Amino acid sequence: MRKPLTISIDRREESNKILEKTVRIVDKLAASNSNAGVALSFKSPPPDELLQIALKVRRKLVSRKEIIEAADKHSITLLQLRGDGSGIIGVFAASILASTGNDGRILDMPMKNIRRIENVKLKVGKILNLGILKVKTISGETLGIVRDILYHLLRR
Amino acid sequence: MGTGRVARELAEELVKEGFNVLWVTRHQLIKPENIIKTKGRNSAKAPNHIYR
Repeated sequence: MRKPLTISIDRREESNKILEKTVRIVDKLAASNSNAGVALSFKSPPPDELLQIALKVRRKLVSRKEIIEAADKHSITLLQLRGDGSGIIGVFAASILASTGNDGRILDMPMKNIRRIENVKLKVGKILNLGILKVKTISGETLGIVRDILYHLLRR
Repeated sequence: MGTGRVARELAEELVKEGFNVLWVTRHQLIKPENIIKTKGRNSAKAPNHIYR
């Protein structure tokens, strides 16, 4: 289990279309030797039972059986597309952690073009204007809006 | 193709379909001992027997 990714969408209609498209693209693009899986969850914020299991996955190995039972109980869709089946553990946990709104590192905001900002040097305020709450250094220091950031130092 | 690229391509596809994609995030979970990082600056510290 490495570092699963999540995509957050702000509406739940057309869940079948989202799932169909997700499975088609992941199945087409994921590496053949990967443990690719897909989880679809509409629990935000997540029930405490699910959150506790997701937090446990972050600390130690959890059985696939436990994950599948929890997903069944709370109507979370899990699909294994490649490998030995262990991929569903990671995607399950990531989907729950993402739905708290307070976990993970943002890689992209497709509607805001965050990856396409071209200035080498930009103000923290410009990033905050994209809808991001805080900008921190890797050591945890919160940066003020007038601070400059060198673009190539942004972790993406 | 790497996981990040797969997720970003999917996100762009969903945007084209009219979905409001808020963000793509990466989450750190526990890493089993049998997974060795090979791309980082500390990769030289990976046990040699893995590659023999």
